[in-house]
Amino acid sequence: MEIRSNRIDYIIESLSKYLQGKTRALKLSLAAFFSKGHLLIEDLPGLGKTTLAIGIAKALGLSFGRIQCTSDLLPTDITGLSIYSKTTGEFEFHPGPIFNNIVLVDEINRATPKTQSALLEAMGEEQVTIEGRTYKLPKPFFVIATQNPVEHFGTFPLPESQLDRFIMKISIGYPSSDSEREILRGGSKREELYSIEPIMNRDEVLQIQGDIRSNTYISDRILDYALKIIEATRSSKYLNAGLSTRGALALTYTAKTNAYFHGRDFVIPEDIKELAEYTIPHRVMFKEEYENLNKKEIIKSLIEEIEVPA
Amino acid sequence: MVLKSSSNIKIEHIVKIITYTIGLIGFLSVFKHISFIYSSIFVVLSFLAAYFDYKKSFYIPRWFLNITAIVVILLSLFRLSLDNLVVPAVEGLLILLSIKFLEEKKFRDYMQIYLISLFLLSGSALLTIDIEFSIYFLIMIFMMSLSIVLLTYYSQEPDLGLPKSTIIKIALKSLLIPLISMPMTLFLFIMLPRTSYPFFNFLNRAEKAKTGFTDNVRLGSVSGIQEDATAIFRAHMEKIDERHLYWRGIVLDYFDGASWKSTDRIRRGDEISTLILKGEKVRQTIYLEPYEHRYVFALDKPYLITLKDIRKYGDLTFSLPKEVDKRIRYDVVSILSDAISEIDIDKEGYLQLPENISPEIIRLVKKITEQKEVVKSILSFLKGGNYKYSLQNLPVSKTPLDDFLFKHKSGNCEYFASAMAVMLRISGVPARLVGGYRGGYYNDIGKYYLVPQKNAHVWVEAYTDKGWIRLDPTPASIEGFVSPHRRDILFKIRLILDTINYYWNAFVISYDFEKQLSLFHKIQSGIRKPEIKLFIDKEKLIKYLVIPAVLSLSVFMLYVLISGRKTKEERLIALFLKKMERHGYKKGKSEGLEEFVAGIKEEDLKQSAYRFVEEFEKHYYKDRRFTKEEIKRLKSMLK
Repeated sequence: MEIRSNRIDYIIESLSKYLQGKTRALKLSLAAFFSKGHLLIEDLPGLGKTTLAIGIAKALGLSFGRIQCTSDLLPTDITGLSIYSKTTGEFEFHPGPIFNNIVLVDEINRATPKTQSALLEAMGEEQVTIEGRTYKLPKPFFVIATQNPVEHFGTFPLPESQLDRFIMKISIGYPSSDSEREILRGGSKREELYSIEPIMNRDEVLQIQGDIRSNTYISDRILDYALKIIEATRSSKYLNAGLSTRGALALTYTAKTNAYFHGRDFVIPEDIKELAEYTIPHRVMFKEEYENLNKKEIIKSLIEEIEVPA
Repeated sequence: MVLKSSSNIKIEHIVKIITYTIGLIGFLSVFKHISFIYSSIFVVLSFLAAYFDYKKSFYIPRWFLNITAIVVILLSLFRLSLDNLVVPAVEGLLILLSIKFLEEKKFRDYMQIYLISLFLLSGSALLTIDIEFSIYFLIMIFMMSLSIVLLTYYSQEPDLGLPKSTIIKIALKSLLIPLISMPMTLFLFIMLPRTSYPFFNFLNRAEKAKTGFTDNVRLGSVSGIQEDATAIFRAHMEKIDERHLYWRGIVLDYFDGASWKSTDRIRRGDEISTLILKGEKVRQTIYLEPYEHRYVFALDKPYLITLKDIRKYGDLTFSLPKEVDKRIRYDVVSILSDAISEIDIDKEGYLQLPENISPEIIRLVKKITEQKEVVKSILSFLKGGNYKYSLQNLPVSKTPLDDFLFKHKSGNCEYFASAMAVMLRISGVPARLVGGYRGGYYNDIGKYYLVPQKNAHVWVEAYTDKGWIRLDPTPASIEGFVSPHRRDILFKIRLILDTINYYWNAFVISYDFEKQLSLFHKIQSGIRKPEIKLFIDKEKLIKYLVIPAVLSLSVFMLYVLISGRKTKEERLIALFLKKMERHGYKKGKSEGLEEFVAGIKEEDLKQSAYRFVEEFEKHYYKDRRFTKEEIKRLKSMLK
């Protein structure tokens, strides 16, 4: 297996020009993407979520779709629908925005539960069924969903069971003042983004995804370490419910990707540790009295208790 | 890191003090056996060395000392001979030790000093088997372990000082080392064969009692006698009336005018059936120190002595075929009889007089025995007060008896006894001299009489109608023999020490090879017939075998559980972490290796640590076994 971590580095480097101060978010997004998972970004509006999504899509040479959720958004607005064609006399399927490689679902918590579940089903199954016919979604398929943590009025927060479907939950945060000055000086670079040359193509992306999933070695020592973490979340005094098995899988998948990004074909404990604060907090249920504490910190403290294999 | 504060004690000082003490112990252990010149050289050089160390200003150049040391070694090599092996070697070592003291000491010099001191102590074990050895040994082991611990600190940081409490803590821990080794010693005590005489004594002419008992009584040859307080024997028995404390050793019958000898004439009477003893029976167990004669001592009048090869004579003396060259132990049955009833004696022999006996003495005897009972009158004449007991200013002449009776009028027991025996013989009463010891200090703790050399005594036996009766013309008071001159604390301490010494002899030195063999056989037979034991002595079996076995097994299991067996990888990473710790970086248990290395500030160190970690992880987290070469390579990276 050829580890193309330098290609990943190159993508990050070239996109950083357009996404000042979002390098970390970019890396995490790529990690989620190459782990064949989906990403949830919880952040305030206007911090560059869309730019990030477009940047990734363009750099990887993939198609990009965008869904802006509102309370009156219907499932078919996402999946697409069949419309009667006068010329052929048949119902023609018009695919919705979900039939893209990279789909940005903005403010997912404003959509009604019915629409949300249609979307999440598509994410899980990588296919949609409309009027009895099943349509495969394109590969690779990557959803970046965002939600606004402040607005509660007229929103439908995703239930934990559905949050579990996102491999990671990140936030972008405010850029540093230096980066922000750059942005102010140069203005939005969104337009330029649309015109950049792709760095990879679809085949290469699939190849890397496959390599990560099946050719990156994960030792029993690491599995034991991961199991210890899972056990710790299940028995923690802060948590009502610990990691699910899907959550456990998320730990190892992202760890593999992280290892690949670092140019390794095997996983070390740091690969898990580094990403734990993005892979764990949204999957576990905190006890009510700890709801207001910094959840990332609690998870970090849990992991600090666990001995690494070496 | 230099810790300097006034409350801290400098390690260097402690180490130096301990080192001199260790050397001193080595010296003390051999002090008794070596010549005075070597002792004084050692003492002078050591003081000089201590002074140099104290001043720290001047050290004799090493090359000079080394050459001197070689010369000393060569000289002692020349002095070695087959019959004098140990003492020259010990003396040479002592000088080497003082030379080492003079050097400016480094770590290895300290070690050499300890080694030489240990050699000295081992040398002393070849020369003596006194209990002092074990005391010196224990102190030395403790001091050495303490000092070696401190030296490791010292070698790391010569200026290091430690607070008193820390030093006490270290000292206590060092004390543990000899303590822990004790049970092992106990095991060796049971298992190892041992000698009851100094190992190399047959090579060195052993140091033996110089004064005290002799097998002949010579008058007029010396003018003074030195008192010797060392013990000749210890008699384990009940306390008896002091009047009876006469320890019989030898009978002397022939007088040539200056000295008394024991002849074979009277020794013919191996058959002692003709002897009749009446009185109280007293049993004793006697521990006799080595000395230069064959005679063994026993409370007057000994009837039976249980000892291998012992020979009993008609005059109730006992002897061995050869000199007593090691400490021996024997049981005695004595009878406190007033007289030895013997029917048929060699009257001619016991009336023998020297040819040149002066007429003055004969006249004197005639005068004092006129119309009186012979024995009583002679006894009262000598004890009457005209003659004084003295160890000094003894008559030195060819006619010592005349000088004693008419000129000096003072002498020791030999003069009194000789005079009496001669006077008795002149009067026609068969008489003989009995040599042995008088009195002894009773040790209430150990229940034994300690009889020192200076209690050597000679008295007279006269043949009367009752048989042989004991007569002691020496006017010295009983006090001098049965109780110490000074009842001070020092004497009491000596008595207590002697008690310990007695037990050491009784239980350690006398614990012989046969007892070891029998114990060994007992153990062996116990192992051989386990099934019988099981039925006969189930309880004991459980007590002595099963419980200890279970206990030790569980301790072992616990140890295995706690420590776990480290794999190659774990050992390697432990090595790495230890090294990093030396650089001041300690990995948290939840910290990954790369994470840990990333925290290192020194760029060079970080780079090399990273190279190691990378290499290590490639194997460790890919579950690949390390080959020997890889381990070697990784280890070399750690250097």
